[in-house]
Amino acid sequence: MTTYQQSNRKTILIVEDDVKTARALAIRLEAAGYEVLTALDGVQGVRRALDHRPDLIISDIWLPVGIGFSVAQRLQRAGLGNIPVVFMTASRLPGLKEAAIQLGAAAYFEKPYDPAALLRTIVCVLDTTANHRDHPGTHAHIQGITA
Amino acid sequence: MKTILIIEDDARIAAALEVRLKAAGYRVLISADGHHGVLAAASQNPDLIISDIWMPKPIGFLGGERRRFLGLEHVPVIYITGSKKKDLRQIAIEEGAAGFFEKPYDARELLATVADSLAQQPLAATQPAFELSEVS
Repeated sequence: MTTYQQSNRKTILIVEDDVKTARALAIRLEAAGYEVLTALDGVQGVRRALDHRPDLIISDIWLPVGIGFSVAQRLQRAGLGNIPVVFMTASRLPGLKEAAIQLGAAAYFEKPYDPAALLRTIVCVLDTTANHRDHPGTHAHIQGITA
Repeated sequence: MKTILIIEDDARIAAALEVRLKAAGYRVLISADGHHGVLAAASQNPDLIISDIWMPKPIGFLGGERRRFLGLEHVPVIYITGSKKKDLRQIAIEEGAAGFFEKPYDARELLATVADSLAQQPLAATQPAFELSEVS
């Protein structure tokens, strides 16, 4: 099996209002070799993302001062839409997952989440997308589906 | 008729692949970036996905958790890439990829992998995973 260990210190921003959850997640991510930033609400999350340009964002959906979806939407409008966003939520509200897909979420985890599955998913996303975000022409053409 | 979704930003590669797949009897859908590819995968219920890795709005590997998220647990995913990045193939296979091809790929080998993957595919869902049009 591949050791899911990062060697080049990619940065992950956690947007989570529950301090204990954020801290536990940060510890796991740091142990896996990632640099971790945290934000406790949506506005802080957007500011941190704009300031630090993380390689990936893990965001709770229900947050004080803006939901996780609005964080992703504001980053898209700010030209940072290619930062992959993984949503996490304890909510079982119908439609959340579909809304996350439409928003272009990289993944979606319901709490309690499996930390190993989360780390594997991060590798799936980061190992194939992080270097591409800076590729010229990333937004050059967006086309819909054709048949 | 089996439906194959191609997620590929290089129109020439996508078109060449489409011709071969249609000639082999498949219905083909094409998305030119990762985001639209995911939307198509979740709403069009393809039987198999062939995805580039480096492209606009990349989606990375659709590992187990991500396929569950998209309702694509039983949909084989074959990756094609021009990248020589170390470990990509290993990660792809460990995360359940049905195939991994570096460009330039052998078209006959790719078609054989498509056929094998579809033959091994368990009975797929008959309805799309999501009706995305219903989501505002």
